[in-house]
Amino acid sequence: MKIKTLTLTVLIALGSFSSFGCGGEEAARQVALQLRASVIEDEKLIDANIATQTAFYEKQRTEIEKSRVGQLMPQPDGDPVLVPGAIVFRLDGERRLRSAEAATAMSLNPGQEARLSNLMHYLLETNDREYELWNKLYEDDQKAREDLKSKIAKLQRQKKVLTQVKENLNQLALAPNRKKRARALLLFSRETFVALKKSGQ
Amino acid sequence: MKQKSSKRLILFGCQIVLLLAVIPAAGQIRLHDPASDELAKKTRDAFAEFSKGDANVFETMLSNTMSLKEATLAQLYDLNRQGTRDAVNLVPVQTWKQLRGRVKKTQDDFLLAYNAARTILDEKAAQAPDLKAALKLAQDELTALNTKRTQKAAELDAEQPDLKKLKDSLDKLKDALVLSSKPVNRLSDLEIEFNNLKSVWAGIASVKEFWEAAQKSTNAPGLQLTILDVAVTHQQAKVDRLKLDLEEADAAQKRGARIAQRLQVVWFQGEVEAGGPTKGEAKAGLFGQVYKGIGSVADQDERVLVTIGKLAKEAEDEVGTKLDATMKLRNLLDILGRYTTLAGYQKYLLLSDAIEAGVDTHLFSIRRSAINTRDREMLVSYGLDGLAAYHAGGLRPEQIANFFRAAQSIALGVLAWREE
Repeated sequence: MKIKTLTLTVLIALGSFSSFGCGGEEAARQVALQLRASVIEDEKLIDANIATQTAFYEKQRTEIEKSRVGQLMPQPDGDPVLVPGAIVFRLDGERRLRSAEAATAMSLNPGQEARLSNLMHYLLETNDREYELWNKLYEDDQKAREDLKSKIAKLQRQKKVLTQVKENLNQLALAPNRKKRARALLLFSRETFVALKKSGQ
Repeated sequence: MKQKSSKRLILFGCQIVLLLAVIPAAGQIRLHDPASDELAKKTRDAFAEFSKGDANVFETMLSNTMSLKEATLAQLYDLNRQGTRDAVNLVPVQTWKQLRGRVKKTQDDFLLAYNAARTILDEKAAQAPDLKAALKLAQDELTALNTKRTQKAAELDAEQPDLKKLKDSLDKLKDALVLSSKPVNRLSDLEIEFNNLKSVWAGIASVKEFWEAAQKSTNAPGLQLTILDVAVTHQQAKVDRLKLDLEEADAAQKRGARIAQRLQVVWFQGEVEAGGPTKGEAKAGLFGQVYKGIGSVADQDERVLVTIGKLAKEAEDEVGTKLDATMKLRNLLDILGRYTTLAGYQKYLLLSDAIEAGVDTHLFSIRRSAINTRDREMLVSYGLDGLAAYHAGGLRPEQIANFFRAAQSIALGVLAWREE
């Protein structure tokens, strides 16, 4: 009786172990697959973000470049003609406007306006205003490029983490019977993914 | 009898306790590993910190370089402004003849600044003896930069599709592996995806060695995947370097175009007066316009401010009449303004372009180091740790692959901490 009872107990215990273990494994696999799908979606989003930012930067830069230096316009009868860009027109326009304003001020009241300090002031301001305008038209290409690169570098780092998570999840399929490793990887992947999502918010 | 039933009760109780203990134990994470758990947490936290902002050593270096550039340019601009003030102080009290001499000196300074800019970029660079030669050098440089850019673009175009093919074939294989409900003992068990992978990888020379190494481990799919991953990472770094080369060539080409355009703006084709008192003066461009404007003044020995005052007085009465004096006054002020900008910001831009080019060399070098470091870290983390695992012995291929993964996590974690 004693032996019969013990045998029964061991059988029930083994049954509990095995049934619960298999269920746990399958559940872990399903969770891993779901998580993997989310990771892939996020990877795609990051890729799309990188592509959008790069394309936007390239488009802006092309447009700005065209407006700065002008472009060759095809002519129906003859060679293409270089149409000056905004920078040439605007700098020239600004110069003419300023010299006309100064000439008007001086001619309105020559006794007071056509003086040493006024002329010097006009010349210095012409230089400063033109430089300011040039800066505005040219902006800082290098800074814009570096800002974009930094943004992309950050996105790529996030993608790298996601790739790592995905690779860990892939391991679940490679060695499904390595419960210990599988659980550790799943836990690690899930928590890393959550941490990454939080850090990106 | 009573004693017998009591014993049975105790035995039965023990069995119940055993059964009750079995169920919750099975529900828990039964195989807890404190060391791995701690490592995972550390790595995760490092990543979280790492991803928070741009707390990255290379990004910091780039940011510092940009700050240094801004500080240098601010200093250069201050110096240039001081020079502009000096030039402006002289303008009103000089005669037109003297001013013409100053303009010629500014023109010579401009050529000097251009040559200095070339030396900053390359100490062995050829020096331009005159304006025409300067423009030719700038244009030749631009042509060379255009060629270099085209060449880099072609190199990238050749490598990029291969990387995509490698990545896609590997991703498809991994997807199939993960979604397979049957155990996969060899990668070749996934016939379609493996054959696709094989046809892609065997045809790309740059990953030949990796592919051969992977083929030697057919009974270890984890190890094979790791080797293929390393190859993709390595190829990615190669493409990233080419992209960077192209960006650098592109930036240099844009800057070269800007310098050539600037020279054209200031002295057009570089044609100069051949003889007489005006010898060496630019015929066209901003300098040409300034010389022409100064030459239009009847009395070359009159001081600038005197001429301006006279014209202003004459223009005062030009209301509803001809605007001779008004237009002359406006034109002279315009010419003086042009001269000031030549002595001022235009010259500054020539030097600032050279500084920017030098900074760019540094910025791209940092970005290149970042790629190389990433590439090396990845290879080292895969390679050395994998090797250690091998020599430790007693590991199965899957475990080795897992170890590689863990090592990769550690490397990334370490990298994150270091970059913080």
